[in-house]
Amino acid sequence: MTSMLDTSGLHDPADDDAPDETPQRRRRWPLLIVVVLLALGAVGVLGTGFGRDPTVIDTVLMDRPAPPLSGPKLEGGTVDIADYAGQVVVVNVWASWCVPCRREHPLLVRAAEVLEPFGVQFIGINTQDSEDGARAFLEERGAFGYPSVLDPDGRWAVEWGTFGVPETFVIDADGRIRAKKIGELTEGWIVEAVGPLVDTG
Amino acid sequence: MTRARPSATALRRLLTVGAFVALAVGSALGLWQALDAPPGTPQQQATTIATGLRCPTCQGLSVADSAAPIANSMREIIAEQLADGRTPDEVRGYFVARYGEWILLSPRTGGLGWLVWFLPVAAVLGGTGAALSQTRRRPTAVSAADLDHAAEMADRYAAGRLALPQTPAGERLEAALELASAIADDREDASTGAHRNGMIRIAAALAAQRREATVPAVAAGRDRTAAPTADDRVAGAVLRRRGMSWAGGTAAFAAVLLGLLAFNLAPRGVGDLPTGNLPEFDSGPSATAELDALRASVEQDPSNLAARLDLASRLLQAGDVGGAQVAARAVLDQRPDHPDGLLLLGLALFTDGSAVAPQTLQRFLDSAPADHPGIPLARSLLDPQQ
Repeated sequence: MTSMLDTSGLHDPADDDAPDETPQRRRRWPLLIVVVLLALGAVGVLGTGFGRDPTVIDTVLMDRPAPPLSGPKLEGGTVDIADYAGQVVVVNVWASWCVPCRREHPLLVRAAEVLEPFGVQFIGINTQDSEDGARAFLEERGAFGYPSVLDPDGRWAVEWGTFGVPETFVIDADGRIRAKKIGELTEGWIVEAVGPLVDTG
Repeated sequence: MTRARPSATALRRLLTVGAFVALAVGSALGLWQALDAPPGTPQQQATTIATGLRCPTCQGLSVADSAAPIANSMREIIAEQLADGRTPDEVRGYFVARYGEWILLSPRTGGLGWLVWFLPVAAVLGGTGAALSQTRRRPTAVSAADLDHAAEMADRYAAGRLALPQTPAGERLEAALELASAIADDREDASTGAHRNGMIRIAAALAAQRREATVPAVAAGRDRTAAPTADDRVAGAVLRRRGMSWAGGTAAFAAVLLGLLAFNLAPRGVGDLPTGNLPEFDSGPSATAELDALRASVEQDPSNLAARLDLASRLLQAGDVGGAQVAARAVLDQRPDHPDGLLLLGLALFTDGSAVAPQTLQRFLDSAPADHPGIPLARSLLDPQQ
């Protein structure tokens, strides 16, 4: 049995790290640097995270083929987005109970009128709404001039990955989603999103 | 010296290892059961999927917990797809394809989501490791001279050439010496770290014994600061430095936290609203000043209906429902059918959850001109199903 008590290593000053503070301090520098770097990283991540508006979510559908959309329409009869293949289509999700939808209504009516000669088709999705409510809305505010698919239980709203109302999609002639707006439309946005897709001659 | 002490150390080590093994086996079993749970009925499967999906129109609710119509139809979609024979992962994929990873309440294990799962485990393991190495490396602050002395004492103790005084410090020293030789006897424990710990114990006991000897008997244990030794000063400096780095670290952490909080709470632009919410209004110091100015002008000229209406509207925006009601009622006292007064009172009552709110809103609709901008809002409040 070797006695560890008389190891000469114990008396070796190089082996000693308890009382002398300088070697210990030098050894701590890497740790300090790692901690500072980690803290900076955390600040960076949290800073950008807090800076973002958490209610704005990029759509994953961008530049992908548009989902299908068909079914009974508010105006009677049925509508199918496939019938407008090769055309630029603007899909607007709305409901009569939605205040911003009321505000953007005149703009949509006018835009559909102005863009019709350029082959742009508008389609509405009347989501989570009652037929009577939607009809009363159109009676009060004036008809859209384009069809709206009835979506009382929000199935189409889910199919199109919407978060609320209003939301608006622009689909190009190849059937791909090229722009999406969450919230109330502006004239500038429509011009910017639809303009490049149509041949204005 | 007996063999009792090594067996006590061995027993303690056995208990520690046993506890760790029990803990690890327990958590592994729990994990296994959680991950390998039987698939269950389609209904259970649907509920599990719905619990892991975020309701798109709600704030922080899962599809399973939400009563929103869209959550309802999402539950239907889940049930239908499961009935069509799709696997839960395929059903989740359907929603991810439409909403992105955002829709998942617990992140995936692939890609960046892996970090979210791994980092907490890494932090716990790393923290435990750091804490262990810290406690092992620096049990006590002792001087080099004491360490040298300790080795000498240990040799003498092992050779049986040591007489120790029957004082508390002497007993402590003897215990430390006994433990050190026990460590030396136990081959498995005779690592340099364990050996050093033994030496440090002895050195600390030596220092304590020296302190006891220098302090006058009367003041012993009570007035140690009367004659501070070199060890006390070293220990004091170490403690001070440790305290300072703790304080510095805490202060830096608090500063970062406060900065982020201030950044987060800073008013955002209300121009670009993503959803149909009504804009939030600034109720900061300037808003308070404006309220005071409006109150002053109302007091000066009680017949100033415009100022009263403005006051009521601002109070309502600031969340002071009671104040808004008082201001709106004051308008109606002078003009019982004033549409703006009725609308503001109706909104204030509605916000308050009052049962007469619909009545007031209906009176507003009856009296308002057809192009009044508040009509749609009043209608939607009166009949949300409309």
